[in-house]
Amino acid sequence: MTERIPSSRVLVVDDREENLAALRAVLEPLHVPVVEARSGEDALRELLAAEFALILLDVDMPNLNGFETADLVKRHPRTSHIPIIFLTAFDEPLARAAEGYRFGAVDYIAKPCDPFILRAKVRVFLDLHDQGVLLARQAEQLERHVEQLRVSRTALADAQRIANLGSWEYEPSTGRVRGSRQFHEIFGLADDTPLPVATELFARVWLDGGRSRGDALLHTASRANFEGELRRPDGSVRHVVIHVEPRADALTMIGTIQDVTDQREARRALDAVLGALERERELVQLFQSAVAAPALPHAPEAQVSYCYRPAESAVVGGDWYDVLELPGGEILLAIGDVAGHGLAAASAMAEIRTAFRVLSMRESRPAQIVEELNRYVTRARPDVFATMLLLRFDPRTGTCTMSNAGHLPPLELGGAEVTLHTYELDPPLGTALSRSNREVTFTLEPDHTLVLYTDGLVERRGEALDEGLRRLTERVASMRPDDAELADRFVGACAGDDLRDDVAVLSLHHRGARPVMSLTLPADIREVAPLRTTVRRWLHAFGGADDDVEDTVLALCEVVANACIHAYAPGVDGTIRVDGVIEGDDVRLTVADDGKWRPEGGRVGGHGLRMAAAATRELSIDREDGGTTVVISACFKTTRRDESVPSRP
Amino acid sequence: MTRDQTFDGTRPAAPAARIDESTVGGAAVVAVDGELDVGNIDVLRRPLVVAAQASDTVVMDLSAVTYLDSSSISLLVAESAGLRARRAELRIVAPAGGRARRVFALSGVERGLALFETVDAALAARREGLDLW
Repeated sequence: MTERIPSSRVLVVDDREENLAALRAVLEPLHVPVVEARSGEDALRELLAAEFALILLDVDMPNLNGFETADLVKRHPRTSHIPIIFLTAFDEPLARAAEGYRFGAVDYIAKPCDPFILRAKVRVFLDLHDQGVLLARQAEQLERHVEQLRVSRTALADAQRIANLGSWEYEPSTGRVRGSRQFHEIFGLADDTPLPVATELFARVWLDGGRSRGDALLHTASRANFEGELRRPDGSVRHVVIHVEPRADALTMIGTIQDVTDQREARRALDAVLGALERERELVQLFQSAVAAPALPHAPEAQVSYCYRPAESAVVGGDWYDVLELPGGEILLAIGDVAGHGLAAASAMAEIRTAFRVLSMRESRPAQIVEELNRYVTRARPDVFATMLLLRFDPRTGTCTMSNAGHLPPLELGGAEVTLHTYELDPPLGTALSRSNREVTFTLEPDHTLVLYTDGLVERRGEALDEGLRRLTERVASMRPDDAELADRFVGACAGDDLRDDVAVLSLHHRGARPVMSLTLPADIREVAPLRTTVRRWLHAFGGADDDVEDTVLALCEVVANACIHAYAPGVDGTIRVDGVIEGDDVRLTVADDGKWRPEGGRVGGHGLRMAAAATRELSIDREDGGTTVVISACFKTTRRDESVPSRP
Repeated sequence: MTRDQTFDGTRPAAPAARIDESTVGGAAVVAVDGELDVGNIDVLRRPLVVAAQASDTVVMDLSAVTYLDSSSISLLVAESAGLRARRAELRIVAPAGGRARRVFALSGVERGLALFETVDAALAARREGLDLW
């Protein structure tokens, strides 16, 4: 053996120096570390200090003799395995040798010993020792490997169990299948029952949606994957994925089978949930977009702005607002907040808004509309709880009539300081609490602005509402009431805050009567009637006389209706802009479209422009490629002299 | 936030007109109260056609009309001509100083229509007309 194990030391014990020197000389060619001890006690000390492969022990020593020393060595668990060779005088009787063996000696050598024999014996013991050590190491490694194998087998079994994956092996020559524990499990067979032959077993699997039997896969010539339905003995059906792979020797096939029923169901459930969420998100956006851009009122005295900002969480809330112009010229402003988020809140919000629109067509008293909405919500959406503020504004007088169902107070800008209209509230919609249906009336002075908002603007987590309102009034105190984008400013002022809730802001600025008006309306004949109301009121506000105002309004409406019909092809969305300026007793109205003039097809008539010209002092038409502009000049204050009309060709 | 100053067409401000249909001594009387314009003229078209089929004399009472535009003029002129072609008649009540009379004057169709001050006058004229016939 060329390489010695580090512990291959030899302990030489002899009380005589000349003997030790002789043994040293004998062992020297073995190139092995030799430790010398001069007594039994010395020897025991050395043995406890280090590992030894062999002890050469002199029998005759003072005090502790060789046998006694050997006895102690053999008794100590740490040293009992070390082989001992006794060295004794040549003339020792044989009986002593026997005694030596009794004390655990492995050999017995008489002195003076033959160096060759001693060396040979020592070498044998050293080799034995080294081999033992190596074996022990190998055994240890083997044990570790076995443990690793056991662990990985367990892990494999666990993995197979967790993945619901079974492995199998098939011998075409015998038709036999061997399968893992999980393989049995998937097939619904007890672990210890012998498996049926492969063709029978795999015939329980149906591939291609039931069109072919699974035993076909046993004839696969190359790696392949199959999906199918496995019918188990108990009648249950599992969805399985089978992998097949012929071995290189072509004598066996190996494969796996995985039960993916649960995954597929989980996936389907997940898809259903994700699909529902996506649809909900789309619907909510649809609802929200319908609410986000109401029509702005015609009335030149009223300047309305609005802003909606969704919550940062991207969960849509139930905030809404709406603006309606009543036939009499008043403006209804509504703002509300449906409790909760998501589809339920958004759909309830859309429902309430629609109900509000329908109710406002036959009822103009805010308290009455709110009361009916409450009745509607209580009956139709008992799951819903919503606050709402409804305000009717009369642009002629600035009178505001308000009904407030649990909503935050409107804020007024324009006075010496910011005012909150904190009147007594009615309970929110959808609550069983008794209602007073009170209506409060106040005047919004010209140049003042009323701002309606939802709680997302002021409410912050862990803070009293009063605190939020106080902060809001501080923040907006320096804003200009006539800012055309006041609602955006309000939302912008809170942009730094963590907006967990959505925010809606609606502002109404009372401009007072102005001798200038400007409107943009869709090219739709249904817009003509509200336009008439607006212009009629505007002219009356500046002292118009009934008949003259009616003639002017007639002329304007004829021109606008003409533009609706002639400027845009059916189905084309166009807009018409109407500008008006009052100077003294005269009004100049300009109607501009950006469509192409189309001769009216198939209709006899065309009284419109002729009437318009007859009803006004001057009417000019400017047709260009980019659109048509008609300018009407009329006196709207003189009382008509007679019924006569200028004659025309 | 984008601001779109368009109108969604749902403003509840369509012109309101009420139509009453009755028969007086064999004449069909259609009375209009409110505003008539290009946006709602169809509310008048149907009763007028029905009355013209039911009776040789149709009285169109526009004395309570507060607004009227060229679409009404076109309809009345066309119906008047249609009735005349089968020897029937459309008589229009549009008192002087009223909105309808003013609009007829502005449109220049006054002389082509049979205009009356009151419904009674229109009905009486019918009898005279028959006598003459």
